[in-house]
Parts: sequence; C-alpha cells; structure tokens
Amino acid sequence: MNNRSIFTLFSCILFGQILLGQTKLGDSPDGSRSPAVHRIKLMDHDSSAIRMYQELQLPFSTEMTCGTCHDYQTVRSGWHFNAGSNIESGRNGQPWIYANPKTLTQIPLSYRYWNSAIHPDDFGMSPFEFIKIFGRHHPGGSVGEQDERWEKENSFRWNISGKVEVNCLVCHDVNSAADRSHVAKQFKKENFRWASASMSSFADVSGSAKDMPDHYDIYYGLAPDESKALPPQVNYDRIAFNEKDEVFFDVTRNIPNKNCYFCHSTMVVDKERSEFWQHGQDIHLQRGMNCVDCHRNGLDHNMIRGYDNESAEENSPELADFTCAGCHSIDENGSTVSHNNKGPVPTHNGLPPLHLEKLSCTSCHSGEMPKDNSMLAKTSMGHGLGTHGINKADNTLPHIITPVFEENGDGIIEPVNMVWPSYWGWKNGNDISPINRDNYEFIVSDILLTLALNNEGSWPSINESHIKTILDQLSGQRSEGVPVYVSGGKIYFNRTNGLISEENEIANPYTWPIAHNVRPVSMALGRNGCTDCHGVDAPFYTSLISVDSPLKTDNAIMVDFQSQELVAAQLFANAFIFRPWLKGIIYMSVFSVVSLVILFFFHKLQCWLGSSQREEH
Amino acid sequence: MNQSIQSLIFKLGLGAFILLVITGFLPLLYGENVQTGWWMISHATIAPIFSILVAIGAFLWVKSVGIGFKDSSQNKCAKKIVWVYLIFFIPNALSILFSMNTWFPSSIQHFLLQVHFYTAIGMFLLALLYLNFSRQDKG
Repeated sequence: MNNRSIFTLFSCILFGQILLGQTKLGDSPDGSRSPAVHRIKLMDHDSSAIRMYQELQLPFSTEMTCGTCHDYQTVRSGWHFNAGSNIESGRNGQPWIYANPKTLTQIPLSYRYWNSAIHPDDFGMSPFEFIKIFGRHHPGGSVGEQDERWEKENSFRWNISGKVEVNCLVCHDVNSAADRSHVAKQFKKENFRWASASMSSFADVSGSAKDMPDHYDIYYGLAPDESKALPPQVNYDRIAFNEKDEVFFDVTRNIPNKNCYFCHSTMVVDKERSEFWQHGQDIHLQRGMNCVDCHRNGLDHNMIRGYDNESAEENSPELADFTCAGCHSIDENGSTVSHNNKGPVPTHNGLPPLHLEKLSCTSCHSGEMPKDNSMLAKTSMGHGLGTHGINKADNTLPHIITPVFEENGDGIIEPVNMVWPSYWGWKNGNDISPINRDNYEFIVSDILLTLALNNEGSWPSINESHIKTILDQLSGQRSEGVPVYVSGGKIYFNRTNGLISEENEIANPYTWPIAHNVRPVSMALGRNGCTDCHGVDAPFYTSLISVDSPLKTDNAIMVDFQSQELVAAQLFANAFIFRPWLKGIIYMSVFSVVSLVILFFFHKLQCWLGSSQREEH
Repeated sequence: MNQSIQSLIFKLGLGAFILLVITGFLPLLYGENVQTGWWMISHATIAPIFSILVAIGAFLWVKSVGIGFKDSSQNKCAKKIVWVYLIFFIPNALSILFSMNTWFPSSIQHFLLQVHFYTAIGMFLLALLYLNFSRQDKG
C-alpha cells in the first residue's frame, strides 16, 4: 500500500467518523457490566507514545492517554471541570477560600457566578496563581485548560508548567498506592503537567518548574552550568510496563467513596464531641450506598448535584429522581418517584405539614445539630485536608461557620455553612471592589509585621488603629475612591474624625447549603418533639452565630438569617408551655358542644318516634 | 340578667370569630401558602377563648330558646343555622386538636388541615347567614 492509498484510507475513516458522529471505543458500552481492564499505552502531551527505551521521559497526558478511547472534550464539559465557562452556575456551592492571616484576608472566590462569591479576576488573582494555590483539590480542567484566559505576561510560566488537564485518576483510580497528596505537592511546585502522573503508582515526579528560569524548555532542559535546581521530571517504574510499553491502570467507573472524600471531607471542630474515630457517617453510606449512587453522571460528567430546583434549572425532569423527595416520597400511585432507588417513605407523625413547605429536608436531617453557639468546620477544599504540611489547629483560617439555618431565595429554611468575607477594597460611590492582592499585601504585611501571629493560623490580635493606619497607607495609592476594609458584615473606612464602620450588603456572608452527612430519624432534629426547635432557648432560633472578623464583633442570632422575629419565635415557643391547657380547654368546649348536639338529636329522635306512634294510633 | 350575659357572650364570641377569620384567611389572601409567625400566634391565642365562648354561648342559647325548633319564637331558619354551626364547630376544633398530637402522619395532618380550612369557611358563611336572618327578624 503506497502513501497515497494510506492517506486516502485515513481520510475516509476520519471523514466517516465526523459524518456519523461516532462515539469512541470506551464510550460505547457493549452491555457487559464487567469492568474493562485498562492495560494501555501512555501518551504524552504531543500524542507520542511513551517508550521505556527513551532517554527523555515526559509525563503522560490524560487528554491523550484516556482520550484515545474516551471523548475528552465531552468529559471536560462536566461540572467538576467547567468553572469559568459560560455554563449556568446553579445553586451556591462551596467556594475556594483564599485566607491569609498576615494580610487579614479571607475571601470566598469562584469562577462561577454564585451569590456573594468574588471572581478571582476581580481580586487580581490570575488563573496561574489560582491553580497554584487551589490545584491541590482541583480535578483539573476549568481555567487551567482555558488558554484564552491565560495572562500573556505569564506565558513563559504556562509553557513550562503546562496546562492543567482533567485529572481522570483523581476520581477513577482505585489503586491503594495512588497518592492524591502528591498532586497537591506538584501544584505548589508549578508542575502542572506532571500532576496527574505524580499520583499514579508507577511514576515518580521530582524537581520543580517553579525553580526553572523563564526560558526553560522541557525538551532541551538547562545548560549544565545554568542552574543547580532540579528540573521537573518523571521516572516511570519499568516493572509496571510490559514489553509493549503498556501499563495497567486500576481504574473504575464506579467511584468509591474514599476517592470523593479526598476533596469532599468535612470535619467539625467541637470540643464536646467524641473522638474522631467514633463519629458516624452519612446514613446512606452506612446502609451501603456510594456517593455516586445519587451523584451520577453520563459521559458528559455533568454530575447530579441533587438539589430541589436542579431539575427545573437543567430542564431535565429525570433529575428530580435524585433529590431527597425523589427516593423518599410517594406519588399519587403510591410508588416512589425514583426509577432506581426506593428509600423508606417517612410518615413524619405529628409534624404539621407547613414544616415540609417551609423547611428543607436537610434542616432536620443534615449537618450538625444546632447548639447554643455556632461551630467551626474544616473542609478539604478550604483547609487542604489530606495534604501534607497543613496547619491542623482547630482555629486555622478560613473560618467556616456551621450550622446556620438560613432562609433561601425560595423562602425555605435550610442549614448552610457560612464564611464572612474579610478583604481590602476600594469604595467608589456605592460600589465596592476588592483591591488587587499585589497592591495591598506588602503594605498590610509591613504594618502588621510587628504583630505576633499565632501558631494556629487564625487572625492576629489587632485593633481598629491598625485598620486605620493601613487604610491611611492605601489611600495614597489612588486618587479616586476610598479604601475600605470589608469584614464581619461591615465596611470600615477613614474619616477626619477617625475610623467609621457601617453595615453594607457587600460584607454579607457567603453561604452554601449543607447536604451531608444525612442523619436518620433517630438522630433528626425534632426527634424529641416540637420543643427541639420551638423551645424557649432552642438553638434553632437562638443559637449565637459567630460574626467572624479579626476585629471584635458582636455575635449574630440564628433568627437574623430566617426573616423572622426572635420575639415572635420565643412567644410561640412559650405557647408550648400552655399548649396542654389550650388543648384541654378546646377538648372541654368540644365535649360540651357534642353533648348538646347529641341531646338535640335524641330530642329529634324522640319527636319523630312520638309522631310515628301518634300516626299508628 | 341572663339575657345580658347571653348578649355579652354572643358579642365576644362574634369578635373572637372575626379575629380568627382575619388571622386565618388574611395571610392566604396575601399570597402566603401557610400561616406562620404573628398570624399563627394570634390565631392560636384567640382559638381557646373562642371555643369557651362557643360552648358557654351554646348552653345559654339552648337554655333560652329550647332544644327543639317549636319551642321558641326565634326564626326557625336561624335556629337551624345555629345547630349546623355547632355541628361544624366539632370537626373544626377536633381536626386541629388531633393535628397537635403525634398520632397521624403528615399526609393525614394535611387532610386534617383541609378539614379545618373548609369547616371554617362553612362556619363563616353560616355566621353571615345567621346575622342576615337576625337582622330580618329585627326589621
């Protein structure tokens, strides 16, 4: 076969695939439920197979390796990888939180347009910096792959570090030796393209792209006398490869919970709690379910998030099957709504129906039980749980306040986690925008240099005079606008008579709903009766919510977030003391009226019998 | 003496009933799906007062007009209306009493609330009719 024939054949196959919209080999199931064994060739970013005899070993590319049999472009459109694209943002989710006690900053960031979240661009955080900081728990894709978003002045660094491909292994690799904390390490070193390889059991990544000069080339390396720093490199374990240079990936379609936990763990800081090993987990998992039983996805990896409005927002009725009600309520035919799962249908004995309209299921069944004071939660995404070198102190930033029962936009009360933003900004008229990180960090750090930072990684002890001094320094930077410090639900700014603080919507906390862990009936809020919530001192209304700030602030009260009045809630709670009286009075009244009505009927009966007898006579 | 007490009970009962109607139906007319907050507190506070007044008022009324239709000079229709009103009062009160216990699941609680709602509408219409007949009698 000559070259021309080969070219014609190749063109025909390619054209045929385009014309038929053919799915790739791995995306077209043949019906077998047995998992496919992935003994495959590794491909690098240039789509060349990685051979063991080659001297220069490049990290494998998931786009090229996994993309051989799976439609990578479809996969990368999924929920985990599409932040920063024009996709609908949906309900608020957990943001990325940039926290730095040295600069008094705690700022919820997201490339999605979530209420009260700040876009990293507005904070002056480039995609490169974002990936470097948060890549530790980022599954890849997103802005790390959207090269049109990459800043031009940083193109040298991007060229060295490489794009951040979707890391298929983070979720799908079930090999016990797959170390996800290695991925976190690579992002700190700016080894973006080496990240996926670093977690696999057959590759070892060393060196650091961060230490390389701007002109470093991954193919040609450095001149011997140029730098003593170790360039990023990967060493493959030759034993893992067969004679065809194929390697076995222990990957699965059914993601085990432990893989999800790497990014989605939550730990509540509560001194009164029992030891960590004694804690229960979500009731669904205890009953043998997996996260992905509800949080499913197709090839497009558009994970089902499982909230009530998702079905309407996505215009996809079948998504309703995967909400709480989808499995745990019955339709008019008496069967559960879900096609796939059938959970126990609760009777909610004695629960007035308005509770089902005014409260989300999660209010009683998810997250932490409310206590007299709110608690702090630590999460994988927020605190880097599961990675090396993190501050394990209870009080370390960011401070995520939990649980808060907040009324959402649909007028339904649901438990949420809360972060109070603290950052430096410019006020122009009514608009307040964050000051770019680079423009304030050195000023704030300099002024606070003399302050002793605590080892816990929490806020340093400061007072308003520090804020005033910093704002004075910042005001020299720009003629337009007034520098402000946004913190604890207020904005602070200088006036001639000193530091002024006032409440402002921009300082409102960022909140996102709590869905897990789900608690069974025996552990639900309300299991002890109405007074679990309607008691005079019930935390559901009266819990003190910490208003987090480096400055001294007053606590908020739970009811502040529910569009209700504490007086009304407590008066209603007090009514429960008199409820037995109320019931007694009404029972007696009903008894009296029933007696009269019976008397009336007997009287009518007597009249009727009398008239019948008269007629007979 | 009896007449004046009966009149006072009637007026107080009517006042309480009007307040119950307002606190019960106004939030729904305002577009609320359910009754909560101050509406609920007011409604629940007035309800036992109203029920006592209904019980006492019913006894006094029977004492004054007699239990049968032929016993008194009161308009026969008005008398029938009062009896039907008292009959409606029973499921109206019992439905809400039952819902305050843990005997029934939320689906039956929902039904009980419907009973409370519709019997309340019935009582409201009967009260209007009664007032109309009473006015005609006076006229």
